Amino acid sequence: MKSLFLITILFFIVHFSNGQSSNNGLVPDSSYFVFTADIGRISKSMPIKDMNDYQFIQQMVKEVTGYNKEELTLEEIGMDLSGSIHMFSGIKQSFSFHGFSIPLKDQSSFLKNELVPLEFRTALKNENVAYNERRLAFIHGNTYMMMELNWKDYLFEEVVDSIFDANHWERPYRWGGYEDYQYTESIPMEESIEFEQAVEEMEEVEEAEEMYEAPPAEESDYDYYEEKEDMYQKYERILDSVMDSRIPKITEAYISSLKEGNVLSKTDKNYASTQTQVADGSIYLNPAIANDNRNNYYQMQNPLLGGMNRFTKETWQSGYINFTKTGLTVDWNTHGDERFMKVMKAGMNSEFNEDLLSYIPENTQGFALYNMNGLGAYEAMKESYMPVLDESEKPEYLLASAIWSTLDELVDEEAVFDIYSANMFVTYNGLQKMMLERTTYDYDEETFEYEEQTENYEDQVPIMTFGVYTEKAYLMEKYMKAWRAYHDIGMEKIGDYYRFEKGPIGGTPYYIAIIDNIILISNDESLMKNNLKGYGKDAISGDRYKAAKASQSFYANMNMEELPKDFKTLTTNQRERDLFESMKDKTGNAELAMKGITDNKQTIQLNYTFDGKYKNGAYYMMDIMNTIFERTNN
Amino acid sequence: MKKALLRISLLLSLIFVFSSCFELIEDTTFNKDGSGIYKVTLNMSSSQTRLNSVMAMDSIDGKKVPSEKDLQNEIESFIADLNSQEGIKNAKATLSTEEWILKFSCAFDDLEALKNGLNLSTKKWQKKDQKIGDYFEVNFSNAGYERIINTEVSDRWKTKASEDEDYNKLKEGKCVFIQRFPNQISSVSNVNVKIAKNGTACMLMLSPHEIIQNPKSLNYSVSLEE
Repeated sequence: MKSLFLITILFFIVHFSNGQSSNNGLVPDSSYFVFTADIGRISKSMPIKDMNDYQFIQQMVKEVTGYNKEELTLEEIGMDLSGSIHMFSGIKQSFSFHGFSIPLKDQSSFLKNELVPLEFRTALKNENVAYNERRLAFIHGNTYMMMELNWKDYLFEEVVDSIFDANHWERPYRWGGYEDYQYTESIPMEESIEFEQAVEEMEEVEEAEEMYEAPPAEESDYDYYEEKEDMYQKYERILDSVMDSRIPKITEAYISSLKEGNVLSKTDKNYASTQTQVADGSIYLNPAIANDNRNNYYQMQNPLLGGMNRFTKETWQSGYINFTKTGLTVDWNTHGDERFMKVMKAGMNSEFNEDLLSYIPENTQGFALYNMNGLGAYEAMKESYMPVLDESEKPEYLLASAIWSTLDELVDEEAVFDIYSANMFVTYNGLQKMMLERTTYDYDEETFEYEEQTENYEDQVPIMTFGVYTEKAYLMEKYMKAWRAYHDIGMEKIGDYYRFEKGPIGGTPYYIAIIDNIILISNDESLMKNNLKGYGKDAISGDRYKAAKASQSFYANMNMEELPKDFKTLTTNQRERDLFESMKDKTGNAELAMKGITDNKQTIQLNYTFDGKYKNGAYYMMDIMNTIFERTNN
Repeated sequence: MKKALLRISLLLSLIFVFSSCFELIEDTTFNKDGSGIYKVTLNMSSSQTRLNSVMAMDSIDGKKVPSEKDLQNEIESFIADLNSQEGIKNAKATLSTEEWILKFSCAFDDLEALKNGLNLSTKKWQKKDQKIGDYFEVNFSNAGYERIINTEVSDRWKTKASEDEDYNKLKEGKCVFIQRFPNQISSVSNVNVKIAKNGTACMLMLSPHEIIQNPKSLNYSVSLEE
């Protein structure tokens, strides 16, 4: 959908434009994902005249408006650049949808552009609404909304099946059809095709059958496969008929519902709350809406999954993006009920093992830490959710409780979480030249028969290290010894570490070392040879060390300065190399950290600081987008 | 000159994508009746770091990167299809995604059957008006063997390709063509084609760079003793 691509670009433009935020937009109810740009918040970040200078803006306005002028401006699109723009995805019981809504300033100019399908323009002008089987456009007040509809065909097949069954016709096998999935839901009441309607449609179909004069069949010409083919065609014809008659009715009912004001900001208090938060951009994500309206086949087959969906019904996500003088911040919230947050809090009640930090070198390009109190989280989960299962009258919940309690009695959880202590780190230490092995062929001069030979060559390989703290590290040592006893698995013990001949990164060797209670896995030979006790004074220090040490549950820090160069080395074609070359002065530093937890939400914050001189984060982002546009269009 | 002379550029762009250097061996053994065994080995083990980087990605330039399973399935389907073609037997192929070496072999009744079989089984990867054999002809009789290339690489394309940083790496690659005959070789038409000491096999070894510069360097004929 071309217009969706254009709107994606528009989103970013509007994101950086002047104006005052005004509306909640026209976001249909049952949307589970909404991406909103609030223009008022960034009104002074980048004037429209500055935006108009970017090449990709010029191209986008040209494509949207169809104008072919020297200099184009965003105002020519006809949208209200002081409003908010929304992109959304959602799901109803008989269709899923995605689309966008934009505020309008000049309706007649807007209706002439590419964001409005040609065949919709007259109807929109006269009646404010236009639709066909796959698309729906709607103008309400000063807002234009457009969505694509994807119908759940299997629901209509269910109706056709009922018609076939009522007529005692043999249903043809249709690959991927209704029976392949055994869906258990049906078209919902407000949109449903009731039995009477099915019979009515069946009668319509029968009338059509009577009108259709089939050629006289001769007994001798009877062919089983031809009959099967006939039934298949009949099935398809009836299916088309059912869809043709039902889809307009469902669409009209949906439009009426929208006209009555059934929009997400009114029907969903969670979404409404995201719209009151002050931010340059916001994201709303509520998978529970999607789970409610998706087919529940898997949930039916797996009661525990169904149960989990019930428990996570109150869990949803929100994100807030803000441009700053030095970059941008993203606050990502996971919202949940008190029970859910109790489990999350208990999981966070753990301290990161400082010894692990000594294995992160000061010159690392990026690292991530993760620690979790697994036992605490498990105990909190048992305390919160076991009673819910026990109090349920659903047999599958009671069974789940019985099985869980049995496992709880049989397993020593403390011992399990002693072994699996989620206290770990991973580092990316850039590219390093390493000797690799490759195959070549030797040709016998006598016969030109050839044999495989192995030779070494040098290449650059990403250096990664993973470390985990566990009080039961000796178990790993035992496994190492056992593996070593098998001579043919390509590993050897060198001093205090083990070397495996072929690792997952380019077939280069990798190493495992068990130092006290720390297990290290790396493809960095120098770490094994020189730093098995840690990097000492060469380990991370200063702000990064303090931030890492103080981190709760999760922390990551990535210095992007060398990344374009690394990607350029690893990439496989000139075009991508050119792109990474052009990005080498558009780098920065990203820090991701757990910000906090309350009784109803947990917040992770991304803080991105750009390198170089830009007026603010908006200019930085626009420069990146323009560079990508230039590179991908050359 | 065939219109499709630049189709070879498709192959070359693939070569750029997947190699810093590679080795391609085409090995054909002929029996007296024209039947034989055809083997192809594509050794990309020098590019394993980059290939693994590519495989770790979801897409490149908007094109989906196949998974290892996709590649294996594609090979299996090609082999099953080829084995059903007339005049082709015992087609086999393996792809080691650890070392990135592809090995293919099949037995054929005659060169025409091999060409037809490969054409039909690779149809889904070819453009509509393109067939294996559009760019080259190979013939075998008890009197000899000949290989004629019907294509050229345009100067414009050569210039464009030479601007790519990887272009010079094509000098490091090897393309090896070996033919094994039931009779002794009496002569070969191309000075670059070497005859084995046993006198029944010949070999042409060129770099991809040499082939691009002069595709006609692949032309040669081999005369056999009666």
